[in-house]
Amino acid sequence: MALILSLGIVWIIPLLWPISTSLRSVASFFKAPNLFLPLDGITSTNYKDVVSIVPIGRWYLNSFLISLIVTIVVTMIDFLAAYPLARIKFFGNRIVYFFIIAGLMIPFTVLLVPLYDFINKLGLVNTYWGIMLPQLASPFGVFLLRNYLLSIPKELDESAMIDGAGTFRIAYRIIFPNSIPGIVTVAIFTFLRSWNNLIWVIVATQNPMLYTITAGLTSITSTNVPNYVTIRATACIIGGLPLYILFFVIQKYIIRGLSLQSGLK
Amino acid sequence: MLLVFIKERILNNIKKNITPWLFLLPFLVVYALFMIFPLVRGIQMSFYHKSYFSGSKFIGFGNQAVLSDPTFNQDIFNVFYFAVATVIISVFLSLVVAAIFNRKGVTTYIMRSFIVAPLVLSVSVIGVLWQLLFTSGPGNSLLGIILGKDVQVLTSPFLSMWLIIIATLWWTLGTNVIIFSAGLQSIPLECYEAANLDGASSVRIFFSITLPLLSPLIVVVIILQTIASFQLFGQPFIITAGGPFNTTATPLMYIYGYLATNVGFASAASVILFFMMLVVSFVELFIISRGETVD
Repeated sequence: MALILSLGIVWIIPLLWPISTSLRSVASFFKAPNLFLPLDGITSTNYKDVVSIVPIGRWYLNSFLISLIVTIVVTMIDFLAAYPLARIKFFGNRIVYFFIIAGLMIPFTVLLVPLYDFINKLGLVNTYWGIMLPQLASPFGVFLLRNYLLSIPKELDESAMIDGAGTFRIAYRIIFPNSIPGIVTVAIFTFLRSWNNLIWVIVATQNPMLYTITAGLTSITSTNVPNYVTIRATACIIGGLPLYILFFVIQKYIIRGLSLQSGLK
Repeated sequence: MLLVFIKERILNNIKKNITPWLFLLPFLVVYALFMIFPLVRGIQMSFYHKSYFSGSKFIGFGNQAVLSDPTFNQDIFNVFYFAVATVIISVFLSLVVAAIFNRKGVTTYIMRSFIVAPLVLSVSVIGVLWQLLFTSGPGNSLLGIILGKDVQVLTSPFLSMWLIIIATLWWTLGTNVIIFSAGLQSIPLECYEAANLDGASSVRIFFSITLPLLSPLIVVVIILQTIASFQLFGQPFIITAGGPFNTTATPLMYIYGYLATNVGFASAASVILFFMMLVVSFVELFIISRGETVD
């Protein structure tokens, strides 16, 4: 038990210092930079400064809108693709499935350069479209949802078919409501992946007003910002803490997703 | 009458075979446009000299000159070093953590959540956090106390790389802990009870029951972790900017650097990296599966 407690505590220690620093005034920070807890009084000046010095609100909004749109589209098209792969026998089923999961082996590294070239040709560099479009292809979601849909009993479709329901009706009325937990899992993973995407955002745009919070954080440097340390620690907390807290709410879905991904049910 | 019947059957048959494709269509379009097409195009581009100033020209294997660039070779070495260290430590540590935390109780659950939670953070938060700790924060002085001498982590090649490894472990260990925890819970209790009756020690139980039953998962974790490691970018990009003396730079940073000047060269570097990842994954699979048949 002591081991469990100490491991957990070791893991939160790195977070304490930036939280503490973000709550302390610049003067008291320079007097004692190493405090893990804001023992010399707390202030909200750093938070006000961050908002006035860097467009962090705009970055947050960008992150939120981009991730939300990507999540909605990916979840929808991945569900539509997973449905026939898991529930309908048709010519080519296995071949298409194999073709799709082969995509899991393609690392983003090898797509980066041609995607940039492609987006550039379409004139979409420095646009939201350019940032979002390449994130829409997610074979991982199809793989995960197909595995989930396979676990729904076959009798449900059959009884619906006897009642005269067509393929679309079955997908919408029977399969969709029964796969909500799987869909939520895919949605969470897609959202996190989009929110955390760094390299594609800094490749697709050089305009700081289009940055997501993930890209924006890296653009705060000692040369362009006064009181760089406290500002950066504060921006880091603003960028990270909400998701960190959200984790405790959505933990169940993340555990399910990782188990599905590694082949466990 | 018969004709109508046949016509209807054929129509039905076509409908039955087309509907699945209608469902698949939106995904396949996006997949083809943003994954398959760029993959093919990337391989094709690696045979061209192409920049935005001079246009493009076929040069065959000319771009493979990237292989004789000492900087690129150093980057490959760095990422191998990083991959070997992270894969070994991460698999070992997450097995241990999952085993320790394999019990019920609120405290255990909360403490495990603390270990897992960083995986939702973005690489920028991780990078900024660890960089600040070791530039303006208490990192260097704490490490100095432990080692008994003054250290500046970010000026030492060895310590810089290990800072990136530790930041990565802090960030991603939870993923593997969750996978192994789920694996541990799927092992039937009867196995342990039988072993206990036979008087097996807990170390013996771990090596004779837990480890073999988890081995398919260990394979998955090793391969996923390797593929992720080879694409290392954000942590060194933010924490060290590749320094000191290029000792923490990675191939992906190299590719990023050439993106604006020579697209063909950058493609060649990424295709080489891709094949290297494929080869390493297959070698791992081969070694692991051979080890299993020997057992």
